[in-house]
Amino acid sequence: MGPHTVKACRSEGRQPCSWEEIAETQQRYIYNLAYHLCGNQVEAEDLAQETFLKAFENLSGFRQEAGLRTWLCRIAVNTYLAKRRRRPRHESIALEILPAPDWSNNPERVVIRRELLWCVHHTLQQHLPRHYRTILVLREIEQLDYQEIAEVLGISVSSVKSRLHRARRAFRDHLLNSGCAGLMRDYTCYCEGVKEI
Amino acid sequence: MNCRQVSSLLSLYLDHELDDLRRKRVELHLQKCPACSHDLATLAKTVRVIRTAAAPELDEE
Repeated sequence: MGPHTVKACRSEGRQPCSWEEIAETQQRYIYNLAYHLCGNQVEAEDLAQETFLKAFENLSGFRQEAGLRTWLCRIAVNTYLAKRRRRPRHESIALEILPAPDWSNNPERVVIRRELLWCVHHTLQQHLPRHYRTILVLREIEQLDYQEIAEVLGISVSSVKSRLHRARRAFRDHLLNSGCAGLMRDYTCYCEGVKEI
Repeated sequence: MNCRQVSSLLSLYLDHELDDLRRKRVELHLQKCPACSHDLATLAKTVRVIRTAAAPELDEE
């Protein structure tokens, strides 16, 4: 087994993975996580790149107790949190940079969908504390289970349960109190956008 | 169970993380408490909104 080979696929009953295989299979997943944490493509690309760089540099520290994806998630989340601590809290998100599927045959739905996406990102990025945003991304978007979230965040499962509960309530209360309540009725977002709380 | 106890369990209820006994007790309370039922419904919609926004859409022919 080479220096950059990992027994990360052991649980899947496969032979050890090469670094190239890891990067290829996990790239999209980590980029998506980074995108939902950062809220824009440029920062997401940087975060994903930095995550893989750190993972590569610390391959020897991968203890294989957690899954490979969980380990990469933990690196991505920790890197993201460190970056966020160094930058100002409020930055707006440009609607145009959010990716939207090509529904050119249904323009009304494209608009609604894009606005919904914008509202969710806007609320996550601008109106929730970092620890709430992170746990919502891991649970609702990346669909990690409680144990995996606990491993990524380095907290107990019990803390995951209580933090997730508070985060969901905070997200809901923001939608209901800020003019985004339309989301709760028909998924159509009526948010004016730059409302600060 | 009272409203406060049920309220603290709704997120776990949504995620199917309650054991059978607690799940049944929550459901019994929900059947007779409109306020907690509303609380659950809005939480469920919140989760759905986030997941819907993030999920890749399938092309419709």
